[in-house]
Amino acid sequence: MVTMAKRKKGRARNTIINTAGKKSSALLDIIIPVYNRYDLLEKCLASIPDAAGDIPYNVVIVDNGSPEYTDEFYTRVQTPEITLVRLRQNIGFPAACNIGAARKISPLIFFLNSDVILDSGSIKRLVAEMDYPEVGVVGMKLVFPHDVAEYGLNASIRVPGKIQHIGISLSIHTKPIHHLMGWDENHPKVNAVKDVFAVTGAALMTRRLLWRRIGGFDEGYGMGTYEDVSYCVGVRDMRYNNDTTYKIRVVPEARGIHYTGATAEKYGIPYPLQINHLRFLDRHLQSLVWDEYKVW
Amino acid sequence: MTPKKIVAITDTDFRTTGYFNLAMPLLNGLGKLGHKIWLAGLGYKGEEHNWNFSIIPALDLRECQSIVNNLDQLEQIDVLIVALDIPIQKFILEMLAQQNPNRKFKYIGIFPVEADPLSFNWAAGVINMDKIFIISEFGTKEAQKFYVPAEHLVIGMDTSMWRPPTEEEKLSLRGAYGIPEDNFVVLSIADNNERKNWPIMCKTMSKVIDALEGERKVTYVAVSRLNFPHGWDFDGMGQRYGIQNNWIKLERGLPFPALWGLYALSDAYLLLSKAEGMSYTTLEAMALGLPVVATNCTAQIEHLENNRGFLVPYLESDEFDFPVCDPFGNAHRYFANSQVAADILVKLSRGEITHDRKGALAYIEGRQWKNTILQVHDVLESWDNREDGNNG
Repeated sequence: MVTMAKRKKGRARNTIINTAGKKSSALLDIIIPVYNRYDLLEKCLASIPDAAGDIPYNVVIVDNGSPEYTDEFYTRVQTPEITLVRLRQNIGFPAACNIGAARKISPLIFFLNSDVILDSGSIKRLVAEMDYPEVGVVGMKLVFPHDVAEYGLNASIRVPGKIQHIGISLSIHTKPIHHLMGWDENHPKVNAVKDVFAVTGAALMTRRLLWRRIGGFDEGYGMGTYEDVSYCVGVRDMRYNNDTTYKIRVVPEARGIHYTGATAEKYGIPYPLQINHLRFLDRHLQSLVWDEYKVW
Repeated sequence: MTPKKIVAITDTDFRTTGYFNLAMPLLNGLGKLGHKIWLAGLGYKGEEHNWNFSIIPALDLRECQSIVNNLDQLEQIDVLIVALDIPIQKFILEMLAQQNPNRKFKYIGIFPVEADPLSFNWAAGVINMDKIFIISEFGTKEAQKFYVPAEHLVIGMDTSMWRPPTEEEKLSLRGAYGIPEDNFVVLSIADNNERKNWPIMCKTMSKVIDALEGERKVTYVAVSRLNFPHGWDFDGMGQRYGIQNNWIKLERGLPFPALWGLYALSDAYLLLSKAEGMSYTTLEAMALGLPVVATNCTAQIEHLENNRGFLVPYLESDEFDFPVCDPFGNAHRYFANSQVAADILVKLSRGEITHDRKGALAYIEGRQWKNTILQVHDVLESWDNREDGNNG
């Protein structure tokens, strides 16, 4: 059934909500913003059941105004867990994530890029880490794929089988960096990474309680970049108890393959990196502590 | 022994430089002894490595300084080890004096003295270090002339890796490079800067090729920065000295197996530089049993004397109308006699002379990394507590 939702102030006009999924008492809401690249989205969706195991979950796909949208595709991949939110225009990654997260109420939220293919048991492993109450955000080990050329992507900047993400640390220039990128995924230093400055929004799990308190991703980051790091800094600033603040943790045992920038590269989406860095510094400079030395 | 928290600064170009080859085994060894080490790596781009210490990327010396200051505040470091040239060490000491005048950590400087005499200003600059290691006996003695309390740090060689080849290996490698078995092969490995004096080496090889004309073919293998915008143009040099058809030129940064292979397929090693602070390539050539032909100056003397190699006399400076000196520190520059060098190589080719190969290998065997590491470790042990650094 297709219904027209009431337009919230500040939201894009004519947001159509197609609610095919039924409400459930799930533990986890998986939010997947997507802009075209249905080839990779299909692979992503297919990897979720095995990754989650017996964890009850919902999936909310936020179609960000994809020009290549077809009902046929979504009808084909439809499962009882999936809710589709279709936007008429691309409102950027942060806003799309916020819309998706607002659709459900499960205690854990997992933001997942449509070009991430999850390994078996990876979601279950992340959920297990959230059993530690001081952990506010968890991320996973992401590696570059071996078949990038088949998806029309530049292989020279995506070293097959090597680390794409194992956490984010802060450089001496106050820039968030993907440390150990390009390293072998079995290197001891890679698998020793635990508590980090931030994790990528490509695969970011957090508590809904914290999400609400912070107010979700900052939509001032426009199309995207820095909203994930900014969120993590917000979580780190929150006190878990009198002695400590919340932790941002990466779990090397939870693994996925990330095609990295598949949408941006194919459709030339300009991410405002410089402006967003300035916004990030403006918001968080007082909270920033250089920490890359802990992982190198 | 209380493990120390150590920050190091050195060149971390993974295509390997002298400082890279010196610092990595040293820091790795200190790490194995229990010290906690962070290296502010100049030129480090995040490459994967297996050493047991952390390498933090640093674009320039100011970033290194920031890294040192940050780590001192966050971790209360005990020692700063800097393995770089004297002028850069002076710069770092001056920055420390300005930004961290009350530093609690000690400063260990490790550096070469390339040529004599040591500049008075440089001597005055380095005397502020808490411990001074100079990587050659020659350099140590020069420093001591200026009452600089330097100690000779005997740099080790991994003799399990740098070993002489078998005859089969040598012939097999020649075949791989397309070099006939009976060619006389001379190898030179040096950066493309004026001190290394490539024109003299090309001139020498030109004389060798002429002398052996009709008798034996000559191949000259050269490894350098071939495409560096500053320095000798190798193609131009080859044409100028008529050796273009005789040499194989390779870009520096070769992985170890390839580098070892070049030494292994050679008959002699030639390095007619104007001065040498230590010369790693000379030690590598000696480790593979090669006769080394080098200028009779600076650190080369202590390696090759007593017939462990061949020391080529230099042209006396009185023969020039102006004093020969290096504008970077005012030290002497030694210009090798290319005819003498050529004569030595020709005689080697004919088997008329040999060097003391056994003595050369024993000299190399006496330079073990475990001793180098212990030399530095002993100094660290003598500093039990985090004390006031030497501030002047």
